[in-house]
Amino acid sequence: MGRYSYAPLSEPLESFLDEGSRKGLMIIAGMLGSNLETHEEWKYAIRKAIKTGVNVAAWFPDFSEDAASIALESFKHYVMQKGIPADETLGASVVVVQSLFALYLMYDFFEDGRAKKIYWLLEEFIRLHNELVEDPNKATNPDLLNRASALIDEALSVIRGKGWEGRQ
Amino acid sequence: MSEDPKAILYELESGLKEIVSKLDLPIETQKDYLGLLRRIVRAGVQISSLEPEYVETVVANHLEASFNIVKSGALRTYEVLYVYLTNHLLLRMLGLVYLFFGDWRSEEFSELLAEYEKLIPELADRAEKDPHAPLSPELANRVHTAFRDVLSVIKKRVSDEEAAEPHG
Repeated sequence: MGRYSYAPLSEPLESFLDEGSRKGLMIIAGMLGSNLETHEEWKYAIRKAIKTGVNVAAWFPDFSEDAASIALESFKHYVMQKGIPADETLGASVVVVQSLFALYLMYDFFEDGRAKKIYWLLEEFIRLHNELVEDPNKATNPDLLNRASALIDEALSVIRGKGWEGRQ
Repeated sequence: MSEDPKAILYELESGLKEIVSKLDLPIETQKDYLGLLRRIVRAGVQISSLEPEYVETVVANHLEASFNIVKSGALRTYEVLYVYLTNHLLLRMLGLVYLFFGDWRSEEFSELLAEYEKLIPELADRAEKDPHAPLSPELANRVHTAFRDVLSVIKKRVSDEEAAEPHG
């Protein structure tokens, strides 16, 4: 932590925000039931966001990458190689979705260039998961399993293909 | 708002300071603040897009399945480690959701998550030394306890809601 530097705030926090951040805070405030009409409401929404940010910052990237990789590898191992009941395949696909989301959240927070690609893979996997929800029998469908396999392989290659040093 | 604005401002600064130290970045100018706040707000917006009860259900289902399969003794040590780490990622996601939405279980959940994390180094050590051996009964028992403890907090909502429903 050699480059640690911190200057105390001397101006209202909202004066630091650009239009994008303001819109983001409006979304958060909406979830919290506020219209951000007063200075106090601004601070409350920012505080909520900061609490979340502190926790995301605590997700050390290599650890989160390991955990997400394991979740993806496990899906391939248990669902595609060993074969498990359809309802368990559905559960396993939810875990993949959650893991990809966690990975995206972490990459995005740390402004890692892989965030966009992981987001695309996340959306694709959600589509696949929704197909399973609509028709659980698809859990044994070779076409669906092959698509799942391809998406997982691509996600794994994104995770492994570029080290933490390569962040943008 | 019933909270003291000064306390909120202090918390904002503390939160920012914590993030700055974790990211190891110099935050000195208004532009630096803006960049950091943008990341924080984006993370908050993403968390606010999650449906708390859905995430909770997903995590609870996976934990229960994990509990049962570890208890069956069917997994080797490295497989238990994999399950444990995947659950850890999911639990951290749920922790963020609880924190963001101000769930009353947030603090208790964080404490149990910290306990859960204490077992990771030991499991990793055993998995490295003897990956294909079955888990020792003592360690298996501690894994069961860790799963059960976090599950008990997650399930509190369900039982509380049921208790609140009018009967007859």
